[in-house]
Amino acid sequence: MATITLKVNNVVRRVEVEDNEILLDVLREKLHVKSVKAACWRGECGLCTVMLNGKPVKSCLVLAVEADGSEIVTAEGLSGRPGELAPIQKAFIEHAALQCGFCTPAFVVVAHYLLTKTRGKVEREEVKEYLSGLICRCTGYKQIIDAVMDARKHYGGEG
Amino acid sequence: MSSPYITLPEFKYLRPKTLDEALAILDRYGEDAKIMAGGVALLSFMKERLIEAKYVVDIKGVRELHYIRFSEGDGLRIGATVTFSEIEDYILQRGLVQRFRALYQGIKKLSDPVLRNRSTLAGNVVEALPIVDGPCLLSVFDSELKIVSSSGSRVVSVSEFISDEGFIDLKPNEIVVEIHIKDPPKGFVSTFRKYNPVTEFSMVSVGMSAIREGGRDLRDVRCVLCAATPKPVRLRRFEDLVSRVSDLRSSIDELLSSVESEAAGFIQDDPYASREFKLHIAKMLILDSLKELRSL
Amino acid sequence: MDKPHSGGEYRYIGKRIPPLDAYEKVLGAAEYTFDLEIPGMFHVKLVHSEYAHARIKSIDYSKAIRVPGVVSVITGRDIPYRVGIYVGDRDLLAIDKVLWIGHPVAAVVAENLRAAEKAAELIEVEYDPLEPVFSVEEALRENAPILHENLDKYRRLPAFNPKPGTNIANYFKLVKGDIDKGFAEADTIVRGRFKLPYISHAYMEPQVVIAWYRYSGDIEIWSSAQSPFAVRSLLSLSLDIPAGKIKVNVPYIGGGFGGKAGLGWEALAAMISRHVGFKPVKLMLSRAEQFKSAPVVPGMVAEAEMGLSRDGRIVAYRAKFLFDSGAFADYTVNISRTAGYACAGSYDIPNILCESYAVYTNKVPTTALRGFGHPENHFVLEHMIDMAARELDQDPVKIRSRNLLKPGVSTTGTGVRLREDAGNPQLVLERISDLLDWTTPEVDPERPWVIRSKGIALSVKGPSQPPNASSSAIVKFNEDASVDVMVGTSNFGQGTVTGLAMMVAEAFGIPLEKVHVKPLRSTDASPYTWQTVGSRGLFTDGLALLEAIEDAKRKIKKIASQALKVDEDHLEIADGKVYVVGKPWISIPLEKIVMGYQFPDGTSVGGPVIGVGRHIAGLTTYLDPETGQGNPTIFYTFGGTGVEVEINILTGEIKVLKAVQVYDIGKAINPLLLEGQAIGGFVMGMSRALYERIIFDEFGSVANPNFSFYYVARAKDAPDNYLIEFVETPQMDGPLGSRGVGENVMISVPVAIANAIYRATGVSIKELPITPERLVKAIREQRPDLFEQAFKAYIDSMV
Repeated sequence: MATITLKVNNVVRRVEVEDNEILLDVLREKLHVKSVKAACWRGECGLCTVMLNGKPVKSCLVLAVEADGSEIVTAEGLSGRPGELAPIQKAFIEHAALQCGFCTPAFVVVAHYLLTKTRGKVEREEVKEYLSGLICRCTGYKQIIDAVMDARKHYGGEG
Repeated sequence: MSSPYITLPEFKYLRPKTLDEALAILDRYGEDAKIMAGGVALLSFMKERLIEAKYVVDIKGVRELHYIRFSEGDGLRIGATVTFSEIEDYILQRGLVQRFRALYQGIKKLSDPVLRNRSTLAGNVVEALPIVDGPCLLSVFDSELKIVSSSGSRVVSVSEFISDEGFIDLKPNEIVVEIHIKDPPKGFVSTFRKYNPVTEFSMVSVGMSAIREGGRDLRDVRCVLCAATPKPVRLRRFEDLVSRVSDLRSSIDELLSSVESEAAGFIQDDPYASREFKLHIAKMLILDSLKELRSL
Repeated sequence: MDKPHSGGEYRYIGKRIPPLDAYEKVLGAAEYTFDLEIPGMFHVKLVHSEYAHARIKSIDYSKAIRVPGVVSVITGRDIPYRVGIYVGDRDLLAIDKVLWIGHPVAAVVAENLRAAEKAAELIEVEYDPLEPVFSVEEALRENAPILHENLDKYRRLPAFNPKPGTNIANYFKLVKGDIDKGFAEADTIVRGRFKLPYISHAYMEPQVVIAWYRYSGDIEIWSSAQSPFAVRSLLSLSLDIPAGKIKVNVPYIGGGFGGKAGLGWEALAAMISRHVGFKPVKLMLSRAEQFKSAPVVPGMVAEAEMGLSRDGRIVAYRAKFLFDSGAFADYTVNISRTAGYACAGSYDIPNILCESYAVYTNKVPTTALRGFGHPENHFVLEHMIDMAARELDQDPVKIRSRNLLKPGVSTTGTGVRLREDAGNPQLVLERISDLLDWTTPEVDPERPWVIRSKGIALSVKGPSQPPNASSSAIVKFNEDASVDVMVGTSNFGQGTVTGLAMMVAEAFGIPLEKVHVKPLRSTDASPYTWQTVGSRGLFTDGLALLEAIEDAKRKIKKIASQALKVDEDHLEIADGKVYVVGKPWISIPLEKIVMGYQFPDGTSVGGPVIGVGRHIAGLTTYLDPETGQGNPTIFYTFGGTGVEVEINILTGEIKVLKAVQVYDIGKAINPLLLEGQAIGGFVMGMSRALYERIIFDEFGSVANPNFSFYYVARAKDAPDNYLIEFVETPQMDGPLGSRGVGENVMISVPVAIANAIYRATGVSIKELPITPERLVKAIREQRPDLFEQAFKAYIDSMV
């Protein structure tokens, strides 16, 4: 048992964890951050993706103890302002880039990172490749990719 | 690959700050301790109950293992905790894509971009499953692993590190601390081909390198067949033949039959593809690689 | 529905409106059962059989129960119930006998999942192995081991026909005309044998349920279930508890695709809750359990024969479908029935004999998937037509056109005159053909070993539901004249909720923001609907809602009539107001009416306005047990798929370059969300065509229970180029003339791809998935010349 400190969506949280607890479970069950989902628990579906110290990682394969002192951002904290949407989230709505919505928090996190990292200068094929670590079973991806392409202009690229 | 569990078994987490500390832990706990770098493979296997560990030794806190360096003549040196994403970015930013082309291509196709933010080349090589690409990529180049224990260090080539059956030459008290990819000679060209249309992992991969000197002729061809084989396999007869070929068209049959005779013995059926089909794909990837190297 | 009097254009209907629940979803704020917690709840982990067929000798959980945090271990003998929607063949935990590898034999209950999983590993079960059967052929053999000895004792609905003493869970026969005479008259006969693998729904939110059996005997359930009312009724039937004492709550659902229809793990969780002292428990499956223990999608083998006249008329069609149900056939009996009665697809065939079986084997149990029965029978039928076209040297589009059902004229396979307003299949076919540029030859490829080709397949689909399936809706006004819309349909992102909200906003002329649709939250607070399946949601719940709207309008007009002293039939409602017809300057805003009207002197009339509506299937019937004749469905949606693909002859890789989707849905209420269905359905169908299969090892165990080895389409595989069109032939009794489409969009995708391969190469692929190996092998067998030519071209490109 160890006490770890995480900054989650701009709020500092302290929590006791066992060595064998994964970050995903601690976020969801102990800190009640439900904007992180999961569907495979072994790094394949990508639905547990969170920003960990500025990079997207699959939190089902991260130990909670090793994240001590880290900063974590999820879909609900993406814009940096509670209740407000990041441009990619607005684009997802406009393009109806979601159906059941279970994968959506992970997709917006990864897409936001890619657009930020590339300052919106990214081609369709790169977007597809970058999102291929995540599974969406409902949409068929096209509207998701369209939303990302459309949101480029808000990150410094061309629309 | 079918455990129903989603939580990890119990273990003690250790986070050494120095390499010496890490080695001391291994000396103390032996087989009961497992090194974790990115953790992608280790934690997956532990969830699957395929690996047991009483102690998980996280070396991400060992700062001396987190580096990536390039120098002319020496090549790339990559510390054990460097992630694939970091290698990818480094190669791109330092303008080394052409020099380490096969490596760069292979990393871009390895697992997925989000996992690559955690997974490490060293971890991938130690995992050494035929279907992961790390060992294959290193085999295209002259690459060595630096391995240390409390009693000293040694350097082994990738091909020595993985046995013919796919077992790795690493004692419980040792850590792979560095991967050294030697600077390729002038005129060196390389490419990597991966075929995985039915699963997330490679069914067949081929890495190829050569020295180009004017025209389309290649010499010192190196051809590595992976994924379908228990470890990366150099097709030396093919390499030898192809380096001497003057008229490609009339030699195709001979080249392919050399591939067949050298590779066939290593390839097995599995539920995803027959041995025969894998061999066919291996030939296609080899021809494709050859075609590409000749046109670079 | 009345169009608003100003302009006569719809304000919302037909517009591209983003899903109303999108805001919550992009923030990750939408709550799923997966996210719910109840203070003090326990976690359940299942223990699974390691044998495909065996008697349980003993279960030793003495070590497990000592793990700190473990509360209890439960086995099948503690709760010997059987459940199921159509045939009650499922146990909650194995009772005495296990029927497949993955069959739950025990449940560990603990304070957290880590403790439960640790304990589950320590449970030791001793078995007496029995001989297993792994294929339908083996299972149908005489003297085959029998899985369900008590098949005759199971509860079942009258539409189904099991054969006690065998492994046949259901047998269905469709007989139309005289099949022997039909074949005798045929000039040409084509034959084929087809095979589909077991697949997984691969919805993202796993099956998860929270159950709380209370001291009072009431049961409360929270479940990721498509059909809360079916869960309630089946719990009631199976556990012998009055329906009124059961409450089922369903928040957002993370995908279902039919796999969360009927009953899931609710009964097991409820009984565990009681067993551990009336405490809430949560049972959630891991992904491996989704593949090995939860119902998946049946495999099928089929044989078919089609007889045609020289001029391309189909004169006889015979097919036999064998569905591999696995160990429980609960829902799969209806898959076999549906495949049988709908076997003739969109065509007018005079002589038909279709037989369909659901057969028990010692494999993972199976259930419904999007369009069930139809992807299977269309894979057979629509490829047979292309085979016939080639045999007769006719164009596949023309031969389809010649045989299509004619609304108002033709008789369907089940012997019903196709209603005049059923849609326009000819126009659908024409539009697919035009959009695909069917008659223009493919562009010459730069690489001669890669060829391009086009394929077409049609589909028709209606809900496969009991003849008395019903729905209801409530429209309840609030004081600001906003509306709470209560419907029983569940929300897994299909767009129904948004469509229903648009209908209400349109009807009262109020802003969409003032319509609050509450898709089912709980069975005690929401109006009833049978299930959210079969593409029926917007149709049946929409009709109930329109009736509720009319009811509310009547009540509003009645109040307004008193307020304005004008006859009710001189009033109309638009733009959020009640107007006097012909005198639009006389009106009252809805806000002043919907809670009752108050005159200036303080007196008042009316009261809060609540509209109520309902729908029942009505004229659908049971099908005749001997011939399958009857009226099975409330609508038929005609549609189809066209594809242009690129095929690498040498590596077997297939890439979809263009996808055409055309459906006659009567009225496109929200084209944006409809396109979402058409695209999502296409990719699901493509994934099924090219990648998906559950692989069983020699012991009957699933070899690939994960997304690494069970590959589903990812973003990099997704086509970009879609041409989607909705034909609008109104159905007179559909909501605003519309029909359902959520399933149809994937039905013809796999066969359209197979047909494209066939068109360019003449290589017929009758087995899914069309893996590269299967394709290359088929090409080398059926067209060695093509392969040699491609290889030679490739070598030429090298030098």
